[in-house]
Amino acid sequence: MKKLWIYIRNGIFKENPVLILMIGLCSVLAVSVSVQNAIGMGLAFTFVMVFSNLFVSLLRKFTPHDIRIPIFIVVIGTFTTIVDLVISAYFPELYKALGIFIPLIVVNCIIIGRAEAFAYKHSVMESIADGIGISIGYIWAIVALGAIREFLGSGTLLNTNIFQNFQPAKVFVMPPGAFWGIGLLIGILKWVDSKIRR
Amino acid sequence: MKQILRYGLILFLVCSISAGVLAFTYENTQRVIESNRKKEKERILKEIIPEATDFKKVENPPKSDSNLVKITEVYIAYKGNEKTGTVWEVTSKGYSSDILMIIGTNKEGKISHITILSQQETPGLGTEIVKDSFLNQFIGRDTPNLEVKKNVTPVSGATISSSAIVRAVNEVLKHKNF
Repeated sequence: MKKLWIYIRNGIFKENPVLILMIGLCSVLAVSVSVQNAIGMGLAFTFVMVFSNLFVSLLRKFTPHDIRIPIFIVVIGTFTTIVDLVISAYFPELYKALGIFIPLIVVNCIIIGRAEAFAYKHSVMESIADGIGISIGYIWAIVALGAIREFLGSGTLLNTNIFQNFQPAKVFVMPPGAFWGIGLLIGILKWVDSKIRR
Repeated sequence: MKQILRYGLILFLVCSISAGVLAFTYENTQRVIESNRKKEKERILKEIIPEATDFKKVENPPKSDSNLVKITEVYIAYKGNEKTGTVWEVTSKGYSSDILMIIGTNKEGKISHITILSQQETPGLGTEIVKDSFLNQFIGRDTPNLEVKKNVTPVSGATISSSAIVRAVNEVLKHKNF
């Protein structure tokens, strides 16, 4: 039980996929223009991450080493398509906002990376724990970045105005702002980390 | 040889299970997606010409002269038996996406309504075209002579996105008596 907790915690800080491992950045940088989009993307990602880890782990005894990658891709692709269809049916607004980035979860390197590096070698429970940890790490990173960019770029948070006379810097909702924002987050995390270690 | 067959079989099994699951999801969501789309369209048509009681789809919508603009659907609104306006669904090539918009013209052939349904222009710049402050200047126009910076004020920093809308409105006005 304690081991599972360690796996979950690992994904949140020590092996945070976005801020420490720095993989799967494409969708993070592109979608984080607002908190709402970030939450939607985070939840879609979580679903695919947890279920792909679960099934890759479940099938690991049955998957020959030589053809493991095609099997991972099929598993991940299946869950991505399910998310894609469900969001477009029940949350059409969110679907419009996230656009191409939902189908692109299929090539998100965090998911296939965890399948290969973790789920293929660990038990089902451990893989689920890892999936949850990585997903929480992903969600907090993308939501934090979304909050920075939405607040500085549009002057709002979750589409509500914070200050009356605030002139937003539009550059923050454009691509350069994404890089500045993520640089800032990584910097803060490293700084906090060095303080804790000392 | 045996190895290949075994791998093939395993892949086949995994893929067929996946195909089955996806077919099931597709069947169940497609109905909702379809009805969402239909409801959304009805709601929009009603919003554009509220007094209309019935909408008839035009089988062969007129072709636009510009290859950047496409008139995809045209509906004629009727109030009883009388024609009260036309609703146009038009796509126009913007800066980074196809801008899908819906334009209403009234009995007199003037633009009475314009809404952007979907676009993926540059956030913060091109996306400003969906705002009423930009779109309202098209209301009441009836001649296809619109031009950016001449008689239309573009969104600052988004001339290409603004021109895409202008082009689409011009096309609609050119073909209003098709």
